[in-house]
Amino acid sequence: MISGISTTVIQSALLRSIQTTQREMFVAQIEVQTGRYADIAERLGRGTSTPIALLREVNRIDSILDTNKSASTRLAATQLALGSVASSTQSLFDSLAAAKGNAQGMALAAQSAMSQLGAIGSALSTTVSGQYIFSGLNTDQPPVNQTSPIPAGPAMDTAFISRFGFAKTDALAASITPSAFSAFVTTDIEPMFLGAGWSSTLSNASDEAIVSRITLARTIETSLSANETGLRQSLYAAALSANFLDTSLNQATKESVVNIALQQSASSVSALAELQGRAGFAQQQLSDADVRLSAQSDLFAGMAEDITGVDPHEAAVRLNELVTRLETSFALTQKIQSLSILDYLR
Amino acid sequence: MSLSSVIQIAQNSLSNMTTRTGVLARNVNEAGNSDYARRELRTISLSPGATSTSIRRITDLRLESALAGAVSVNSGQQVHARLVETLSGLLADSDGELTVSAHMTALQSSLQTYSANPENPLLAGAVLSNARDMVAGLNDATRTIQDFRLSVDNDIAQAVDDLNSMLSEFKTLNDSIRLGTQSGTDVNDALDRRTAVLSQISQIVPVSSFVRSNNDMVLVTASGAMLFETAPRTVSFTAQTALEPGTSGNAVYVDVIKLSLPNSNTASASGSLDALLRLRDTVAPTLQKQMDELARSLISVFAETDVAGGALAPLQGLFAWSGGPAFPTAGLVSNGLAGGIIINPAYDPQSGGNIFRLRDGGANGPAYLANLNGSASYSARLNNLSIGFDTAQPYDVSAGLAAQASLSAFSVQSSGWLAGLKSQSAQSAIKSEAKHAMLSDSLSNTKGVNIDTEMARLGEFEQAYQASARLLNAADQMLQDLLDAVG
Repeated sequence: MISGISTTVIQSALLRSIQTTQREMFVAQIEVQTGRYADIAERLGRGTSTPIALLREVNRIDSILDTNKSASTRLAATQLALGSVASSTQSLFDSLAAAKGNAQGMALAAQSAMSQLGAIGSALSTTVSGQYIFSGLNTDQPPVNQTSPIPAGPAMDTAFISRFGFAKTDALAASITPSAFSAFVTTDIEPMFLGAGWSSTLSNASDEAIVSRITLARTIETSLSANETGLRQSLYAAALSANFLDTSLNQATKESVVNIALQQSASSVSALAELQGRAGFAQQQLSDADVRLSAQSDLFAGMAEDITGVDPHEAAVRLNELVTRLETSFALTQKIQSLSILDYLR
Repeated sequence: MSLSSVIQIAQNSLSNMTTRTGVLARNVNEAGNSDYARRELRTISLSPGATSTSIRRITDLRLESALAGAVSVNSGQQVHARLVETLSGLLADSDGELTVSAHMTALQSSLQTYSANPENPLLAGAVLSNARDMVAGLNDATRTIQDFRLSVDNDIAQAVDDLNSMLSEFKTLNDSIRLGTQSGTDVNDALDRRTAVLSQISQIVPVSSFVRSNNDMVLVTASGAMLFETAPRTVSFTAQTALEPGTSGNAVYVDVIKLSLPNSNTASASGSLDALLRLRDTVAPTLQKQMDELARSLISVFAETDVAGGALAPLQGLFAWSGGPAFPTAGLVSNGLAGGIIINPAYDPQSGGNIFRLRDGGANGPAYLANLNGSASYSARLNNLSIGFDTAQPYDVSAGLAAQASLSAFSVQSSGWLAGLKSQSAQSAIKSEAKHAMLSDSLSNTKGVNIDTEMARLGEFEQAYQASARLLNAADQMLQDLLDAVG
């Protein structure tokens, strides 16, 4: 025999059904409003770690994207500076070529070299948010340790006096033969720029470039140092011309200076093109990395959203259904509770 | 058969109906009491006009004992779910991510940002401040977990007190039932109350009960310890005033027998005492171990290494501990480390340290200096630190997570572990509640009162009463008629 039902069960069943429905409504209401599970941890359990890990990746990728922006700014500034050094060097080359075989042109070439020197110096001292970008890792110092308008000018003059016994402006200077002067340049001047004197005296820059993490796993060099030969040759050519073309040297000797400077600036221009290529390659790698990272970030964010998200339409339908169910429960409660045998007994 | 025997039968019937109505009135009166078992009047006809009546208590002992089991499981699961939810609320955000895990994400991001501008003291400061949050997060988590354990320890003491007082109440009731049954008095009310007390005891510990002669009940715990036999056994427990990571709380004893956990599943419990013990001795300590492992891993990820020769052991860097500068033992939980982890003063300008040690290393002497030229934009060490978050390292399996994982993965797993426990526990609680409701409905349907049924019966009794009264009246009239005729 199936047993009857007790009055307590009738009452408590109604109460329980109302409580359950209201609890579900509360959950559905939050899910409609937020579009996500009301309690992600309770719903996903151990799987909760998946969206957390995904969102952490998104966060890290975004911060790499941010830092890539600053690397990218630095590289763009590097390109610009290299371009300006290259064009200054080209102008120097042009004015030197024009001065060749022309006695009046020498002083003019010296002036031109002086102004190009300024342009090259300011390009090399480019800073991006306080960093000297051509200083290698020593970004807190300007790359060229310059105390006079001409880098190493006083040093060159001192070397001249100690070699020849008089100053470059002295009338005696006219007696220096091109071969004697060339030997002086090769042994005394050139090392100041292209040899050991550069790092010990003139340069503050380190050889190492700034290394940036451009993806979660990959690092590349994102700066160029003023210690690169192309830049040193450019400075060398300009400093040599500026310092010795407007002096008492004889025409033939000045021609030999012009020849050395022409040779240096020519090889500088081609080396600078190569440096621009390197910077361009790094820029390319950066922008490729950015494209990949953005795609990854979007993908991960989307995946996390898919895992924690609720279809708002489905939740809204569910909410409606629950409202109906609750209304039914209320109606039933009212009906059942008003149903008493006492009303039918005399 | 004489008229007088008719009168006697009718009188007997009237008296039975009165008794029945009395029982019915009692049933209606107790309709709302879930402990009450419906009573029925049982009558046995001895001879015409004579009946023996007894009041029976309608119940189902098998259902009662099944319900007592369900009460234990449900109460255990409810307490478990509530405590795990509390713990999760204390340590994790609404999405289930542990606070320390969120701090770690921030630390990783700021490290990445700093690596792009290693000469920038503001960005280094941001790393340091995130590292401070990380340390505070781990320290707070440790304090929270231990405070939580201590409060659970107090709850255990309370539960044991409750259990002892219930057992002594149980004794009083059991005694009166035993004596009443021997002497044949009505013990139904005491039986109701003893069942109710048994249900309360079941909420704290799961017990199996069996009934001996004279309705004498014996209670045995699930682990086989005798809890009540004629007299209650003493349940004893000493609460502690402080709990440290790695130290365990006291056990609960029944007489001298230790109350042991029936199984080691972290998400299930039977009886509130079981749930409390499980939280104090298994769940919270495992979580603490995870925090300690996180701290240990952080110290080793931010280590300084011997750059020059490579022969010296790596030593603590940004994160330090009391046993430094050497590392805590690798792959082994160092109890309470999360509570003791600090920012290395050598890195902290507020303690006279140098913030650029992050970039340069060298807090442990010149051999550990990575930035040999003091370059402002030296990023190699910072990049290596970032990679360190993703490098797999060994973890103690007693922390309940992977044996090999990266720091980043380990911290995420820890969030998943707690969320998993919360979800499992909540689902078990819903299931056990449903089972409890079902059994309690079944039992209530068997032993409970339905007012409508009782009222319908009342109508029946009224009619029978009327009929008997009419009989009495008729017999009386007939007797009167006889006397009149005689007179």
